[in-house]
Amino acid sequence: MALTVVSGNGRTWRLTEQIGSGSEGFVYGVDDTRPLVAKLVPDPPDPEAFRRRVARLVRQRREPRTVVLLSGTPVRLSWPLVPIRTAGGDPERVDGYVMTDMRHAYQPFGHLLDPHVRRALLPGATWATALRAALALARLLAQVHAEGYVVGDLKPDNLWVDGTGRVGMADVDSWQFTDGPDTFAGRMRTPGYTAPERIGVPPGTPPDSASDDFALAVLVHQLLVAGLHPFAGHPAEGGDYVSYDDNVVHGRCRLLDRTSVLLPRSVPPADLLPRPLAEGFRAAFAGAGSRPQAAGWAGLLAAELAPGRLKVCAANDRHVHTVERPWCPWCDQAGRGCDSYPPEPREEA
Amino acid sequence: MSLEGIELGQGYGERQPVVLLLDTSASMGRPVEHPRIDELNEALARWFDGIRARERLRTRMEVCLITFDSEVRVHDPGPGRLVPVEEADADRVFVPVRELRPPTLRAGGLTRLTDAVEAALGLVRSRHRTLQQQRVPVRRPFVWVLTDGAPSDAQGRPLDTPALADTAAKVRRGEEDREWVFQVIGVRDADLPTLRVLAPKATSSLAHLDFGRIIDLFFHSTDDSSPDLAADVIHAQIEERAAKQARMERLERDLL
Ligand SMILES: [Zn+2]
Repeated sequence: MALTVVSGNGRTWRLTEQIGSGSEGFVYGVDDTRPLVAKLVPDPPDPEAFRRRVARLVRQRREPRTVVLLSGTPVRLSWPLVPIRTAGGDPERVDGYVMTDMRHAYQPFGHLLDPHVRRALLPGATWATALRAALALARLLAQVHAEGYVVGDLKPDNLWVDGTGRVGMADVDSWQFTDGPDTFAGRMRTPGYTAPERIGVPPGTPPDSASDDFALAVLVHQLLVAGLHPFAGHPAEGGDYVSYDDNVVHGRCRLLDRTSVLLPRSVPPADLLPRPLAEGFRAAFAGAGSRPQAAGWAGLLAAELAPGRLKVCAANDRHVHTVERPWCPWCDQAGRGCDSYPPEPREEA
Repeated sequence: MSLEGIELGQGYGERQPVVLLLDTSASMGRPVEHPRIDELNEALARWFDGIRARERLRTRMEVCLITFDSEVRVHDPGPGRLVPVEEADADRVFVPVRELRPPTLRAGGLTRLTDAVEAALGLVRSRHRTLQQQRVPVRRPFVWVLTDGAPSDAQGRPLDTPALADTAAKVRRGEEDREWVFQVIGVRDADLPTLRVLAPKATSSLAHLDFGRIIDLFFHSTDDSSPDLAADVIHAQIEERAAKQARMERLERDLL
């Protein structure tokens, strides 16, 4: 494969292998000394709207609000850097953009959510890492909201994480934002990360920061409960399981109503959550009116990372938990057949 | 509330049965100098090595491989080989996607697609019911067909519209009852008009796409599709995605 792309001022890049494909576009490696990738969106539904969207985002990179979001190392957002088109195409057309390759500094966020994968690829991660990642995500989303952006399609596939709990975000081109008088609406949504008020509404209904806050609460729950989705479980009233979204619509959630779902005995105990966080989740999942905002989550999560709030289990130093719980929740879980943070295998002597 | 007996060693996330129906008829042995079946074997081995699987897919999907030529065979993960479909037990032949070691396929014989489809529907229905009864959170299954030819009967006669009608009606009824999503991908010289009798809104042509990308399409579009949407909406989304893949492939090729 030898795909070449060109920027507006004639700079060319040779693309290497296809490294990702989504419902909207394809991500390729870029042959460059800097860590870059290219996202190509063949045949966007409205090519002119896509061109303007990318052009505005690229321009906004220089604006104060975006400079704040892009400060710090490693960079937390894979922001569109340069619009590109495939070589030989119509010079007015935009087929995609070049952005930072997040693989340079991060791993896919999902690695932290799956206990098997986490053990292999983020072996040092504990519940403290999960808390730090949750805090980093909440802070980033709060800043994104404060600058007037809505993510719209907040989900693990668009997120990145490292071994210390730093978090990054990609797919900025699907965000919802305004630019002068123009609004660029978000339109994507993902099963399991869609706020109840957006389930079943006509496609194209724009998201808002409150729908991002719902997805944030789901992600924070997954981080803190070893990957468990807050609406996981088989409907206890009988009938077939359909989806997380179906459970969301029917309010089937262990934290809201213990008897609403059937879950395996080996899931982490619900009371591993410190009381303020458990209350935050209940508020987030009970209805849009009481849902904590990202900045609220950041405050709650930072408090749990304060000195003296975490305890390391005497039996297994990979077990980290809140001091609110007098005995170790992960040992309790291990006693029921599954340890989400098993001890490191000892070398044979 | 918790439940005994649903410890499956796979965590507590959702599950989703997926059947891959692979055409291994004689046409897959062509062209002689680069048989398509070799390309498919290589793509299956590479894909299931997990290099290209996203982590979330690894935990949720469980895959059953069925091949069809003059016989319909199912991959039995125990001995790791293809067994006649009559010997297949639905609760054994679905393998977590990260554990599947695809067998080496050989091309030869007829294209008994409808028999394979009927077998697939039976197995996937049974597996879905078992998981629901075990109170496992299981998503609507997917059935994918990959073929380069036209369906024939056991004597090698091409199947016409009336001969396909029964199977087509079963596929359709199951989709309406939300039992599965059924999707056909035709490659090379696949007989698309006949395949569309079987799956009118769910037959996409990816004439030249490499098999690795097609397997990507199977799993990524299964993964991204909302379990709450009607099958026809999913078919439209997959058709759009297949068209984008094909366009990307053309761009890559044209610029070589
Ligand atoms: Zn412990």
